[in-house]
Amino acid sequence: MVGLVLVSHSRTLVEGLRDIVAQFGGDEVRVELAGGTDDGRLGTNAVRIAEAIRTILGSDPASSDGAVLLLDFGSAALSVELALEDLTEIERAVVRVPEAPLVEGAFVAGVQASIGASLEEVAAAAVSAATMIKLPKD
Amino acid sequence: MAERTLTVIDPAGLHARPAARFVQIANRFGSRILIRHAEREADAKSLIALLGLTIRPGTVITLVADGDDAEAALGALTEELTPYVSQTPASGAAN
Repeated sequence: MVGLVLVSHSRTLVEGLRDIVAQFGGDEVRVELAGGTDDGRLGTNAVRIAEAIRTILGSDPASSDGAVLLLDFGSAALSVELALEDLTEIERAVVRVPEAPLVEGAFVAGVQASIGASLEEVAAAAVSAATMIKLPKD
Repeated sequence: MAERTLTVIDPAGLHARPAARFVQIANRFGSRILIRHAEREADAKSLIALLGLTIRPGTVITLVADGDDAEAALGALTEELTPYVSQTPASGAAN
């Protein structure tokens, strides 16, 4: 099953988001968190992001179903780029960072992962979450 | 081809929780499954497509399945929706 890596400036934000994924996608969906700094402040941490990705990929990344990473904004992108640079080619090949909103993307990607979808399908589902309408007009 | 017509009775309509569950169950079946609502239809195996229908309380939806396990699929999906729908279409409703 494809796993999710949730990256935010805030630890509590991604903890809450993990609860949402578990509630809607199911407990079996694997979620790793990289939220906040090591000393509990708001911020992002490239080392922790790389760790979270590797936890999802496991000891044999080549046979892993892969990881879809979702992030919030600003310096999170820089930290994610640094984390991706730290990965081996084999690890990098099974990580996707879709252009997707963090909250809706995690919700939709979590459900998609839960049905056994492929890495590309889970990433595509996260991208499609950007089209979700908040208050339908009809 | 199998078909079921249901009326959504949950006050929140077919919201995120039942929609997510619905998509998970639909994906267990090989049949092509559609939800029709008003003039539109969505692939029942796609969460985004399903949520995009914005199914409101009191509206009629039709589940259509085509394939070897169509009847079983609609049986399972109808059962899952039990708390949210009534089996009898609302009187005078289109569809």
